Amino acid sequence: MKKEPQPLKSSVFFNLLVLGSLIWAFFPFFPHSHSGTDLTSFSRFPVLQEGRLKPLDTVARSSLLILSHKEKVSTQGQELPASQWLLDLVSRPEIADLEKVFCIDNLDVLGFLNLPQTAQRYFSFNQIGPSWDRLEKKADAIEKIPAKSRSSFESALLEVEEQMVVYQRLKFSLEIPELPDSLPNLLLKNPRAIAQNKRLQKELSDILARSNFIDQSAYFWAIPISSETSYSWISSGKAISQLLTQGTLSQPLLFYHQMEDARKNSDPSTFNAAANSYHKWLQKNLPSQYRWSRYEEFFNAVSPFWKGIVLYFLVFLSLATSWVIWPERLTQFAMRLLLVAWSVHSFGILCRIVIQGRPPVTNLYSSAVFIGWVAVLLCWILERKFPKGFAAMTASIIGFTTLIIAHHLAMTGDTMEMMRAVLNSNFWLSTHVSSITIGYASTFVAGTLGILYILKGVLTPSLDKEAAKALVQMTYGIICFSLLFSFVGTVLGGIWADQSWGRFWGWDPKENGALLIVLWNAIILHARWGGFVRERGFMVMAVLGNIITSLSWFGVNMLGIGLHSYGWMDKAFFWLSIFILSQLAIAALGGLPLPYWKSKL
Amino acid sequence: MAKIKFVGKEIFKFFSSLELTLAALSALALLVFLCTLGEVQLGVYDSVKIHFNSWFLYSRPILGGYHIPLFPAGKLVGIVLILNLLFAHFKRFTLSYKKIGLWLTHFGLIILFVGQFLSGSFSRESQMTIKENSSKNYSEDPRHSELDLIDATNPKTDTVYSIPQKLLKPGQVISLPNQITLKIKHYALNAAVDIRKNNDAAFPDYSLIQGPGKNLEIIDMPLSHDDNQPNMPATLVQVSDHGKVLGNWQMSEIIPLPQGIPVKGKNLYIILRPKRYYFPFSLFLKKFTHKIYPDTTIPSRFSSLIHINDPAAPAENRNTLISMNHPLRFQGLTFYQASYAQNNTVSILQVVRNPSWTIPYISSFLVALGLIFHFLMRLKQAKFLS
Repeated sequence: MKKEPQPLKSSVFFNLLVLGSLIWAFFPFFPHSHSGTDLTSFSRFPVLQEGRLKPLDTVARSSLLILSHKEKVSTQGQELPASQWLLDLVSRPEIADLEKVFCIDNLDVLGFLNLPQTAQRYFSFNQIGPSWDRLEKKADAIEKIPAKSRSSFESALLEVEEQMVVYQRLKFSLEIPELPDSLPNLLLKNPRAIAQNKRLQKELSDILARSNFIDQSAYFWAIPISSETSYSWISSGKAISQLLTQGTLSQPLLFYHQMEDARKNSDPSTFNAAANSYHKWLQKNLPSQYRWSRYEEFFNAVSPFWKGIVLYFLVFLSLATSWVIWPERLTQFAMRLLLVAWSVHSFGILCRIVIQGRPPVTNLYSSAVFIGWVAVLLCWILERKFPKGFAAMTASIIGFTTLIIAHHLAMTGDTMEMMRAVLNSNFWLSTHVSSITIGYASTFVAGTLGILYILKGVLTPSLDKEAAKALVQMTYGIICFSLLFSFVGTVLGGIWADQSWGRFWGWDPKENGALLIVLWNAIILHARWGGFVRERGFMVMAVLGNIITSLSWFGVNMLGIGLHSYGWMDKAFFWLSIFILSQLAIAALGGLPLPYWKSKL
Repeated sequence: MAKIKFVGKEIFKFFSSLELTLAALSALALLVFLCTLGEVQLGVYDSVKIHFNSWFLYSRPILGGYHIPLFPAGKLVGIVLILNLLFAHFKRFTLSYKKIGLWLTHFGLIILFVGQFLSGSFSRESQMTIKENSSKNYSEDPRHSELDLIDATNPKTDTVYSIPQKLLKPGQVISLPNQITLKIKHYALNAAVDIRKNNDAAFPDYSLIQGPGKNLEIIDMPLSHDDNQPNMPATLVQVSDHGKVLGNWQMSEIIPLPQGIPVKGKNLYIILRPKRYYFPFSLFLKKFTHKIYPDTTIPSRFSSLIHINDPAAPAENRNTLISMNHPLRFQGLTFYQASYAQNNTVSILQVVRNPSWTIPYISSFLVALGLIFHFLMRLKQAKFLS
């Protein structure tokens, strides 16, 4: 092949670009406040939520994802980091209540809440607040309707109600009621004085009632208290009532109190001093938990999956451009960028494994992340063997799409939730779940190669015999690989089921889905071995494999039954239907007789 | 003779063809898909029964109640696949080094299918519900009921006469060895119970009802396919002693109390309850534990601390902990932690007898080994070629 002359300059330029993207990909963007408040320290403080110890930043980000479906707050042309929003919510709620953090896009719900039905989608607590009583009453009624029979208005309304509950629980989570100065002293030194003073008694019982309420509604538990051997975590409300009833003061309560006071009075230096004291206290008393929390905050600040989305998209753009100009240069650049994207993707998965102490796939969210990772790895190997850009293209498409899907799945809250008893087994999670997910990833790779074959062949004259043969060979290899992993994964699932409830095969929808993938791969391979399909038919079947895999991965969860169902997702149902229709359309396109194809095969 | 040979050849050709493989695999895939959809409405048990534990998928009743077979169901497709695999082995697979992977894979598949047929016919699932600090020596099958006549005349041991569900049909007369005769007047697979409002003379059987069931009315209900709302069978039985009618007894599984039958010199009770399987040993539940993660309602672990009490082999008596993913295997039975009830004081164990439980392990190991071997060899060939 004739090499095109390439000036050295552009090579340097592209290499610098790769280096720049590498640095950007791994750079931690810690939350930063303009007012001089030490937001980074605050973000790292560990709290217990949903059974897991995590930094406040994770709580802030995952709550914002629930409320506004993004990890930052846009306000008056600038962006607030999640942790600054949380800090305001707990210390200056009157300001936070003005921030438009509730994302509501159902017009009927907007009407119900007496909100303007315009292009505006974000609303503040103060805007929704007046309708809260009606909202709560209506939500109570809706909850009695089975999830599957709810209308989209009812589900959307329930979602807003749940968002409001999360918001208010967050607000109470660090509330520390003002104590009259004399009260703690009197309690410790002269409890009888309180017993004789009616006014003090009334105050005391009011504060206790409030603390109790805070304890009941806290979204996270922020206060570590020492028990005999280790530390356990309680809510700020409980810490207050322990102080008032038992006279035990936990230092962290004091630090949080000082931080909130300082924030209220817009006094960054006092805030920073209190934050620094708590930082030192944590380092001294809870060194290992604090280290984990800071580590997770680092992972949050790097945001590897978000950067992966951007990088995979750039890879796709470069490859698409390379089919028009600078084929070699741009392909090389895209391959290097793909490596950067994949390494930051790997870094993200590794962080999750370490933080959670679990194998890579524990829920639907992490399965999406892992499918993308495996697919890109497989494509990288394929591209080395068949360097035609097809596999790299496939990698960028699957990497990008799976991370986008993962981003949308994250909107239900923390993605590192605790594992239920039956799933509480790292051995089976790492063997069965991983192999099944590898099976999903490989059928998607085969299907995407099939899509490239059909689109390039039908719509452009660029698919020559050699390229077509390479595509078919790659697809064939991947389908064999997929058959092996989906079979092994399915069998391991059977063995797990036999170990945990005595049935090798229970016909659970998720098992059936995995079996369908095995069967479909076996059908494709036998059809090819028997000569019933040739290249074109084979690739069309591979595309149909995408439908089977998507049904198995997502569709069965929407049935809302069985031991594997993670919850009802009606938005996902819409997108799944679109995906299936698109795959059918592409398969139909592939069914066009060869004379109608622009490429002559 | 030649014709027979010809027909034989055709049959052989048909059963060993790759077309049949594809047709059967596609039919199987379709069945799996339909079965999964069916589970939404029918529940797993009934959907599997329709799609896999039968020979055909039938239409709704037409033309005087006949069901027309529309599509082969699991049993038929499974047998065709096994035959196809066997014939194909004879026809196409030569014993050679290159084909070892394919041999292993397909041989493993035959064993897997046979194993599933065996476990389908021989495995038995039941449940054992034990309260803390008590013991049990039987398990119950919530999907089948039995009518039990208990003779407690002997103070030391009860004699139980069990009538299985399949005999509980209206008009059925069952004569027991102790001169008691039971005549089934009514049996419903699912029924609700209500206080009887009118002593309607149009139902003469009602007026003869004895015992506590006399004030109750059994209302037949459609079958439930919801696993969380099990069917509650009910029955009306006429009891006679030495040919003399003593009266009718009305029973429902909703009210699991034995009702006395007045026979002179005897202490007789009658009850309708889930089918029981008795064991020669008993399990004593010392403690049930339900652990959750702090600040959540997510369970992290369920476990039952059990003491095994086997009078035949006292040396076997021991404590054992059954938890999720860690069952107890004892005397051919396996006990799994399945559920709990009554504020964590009652543990529910799934009891499974499956003599062929090892077959899937062996067969899938063979299949996986075969696939790996075959694909590695193909990879080597491909490398060699390029």
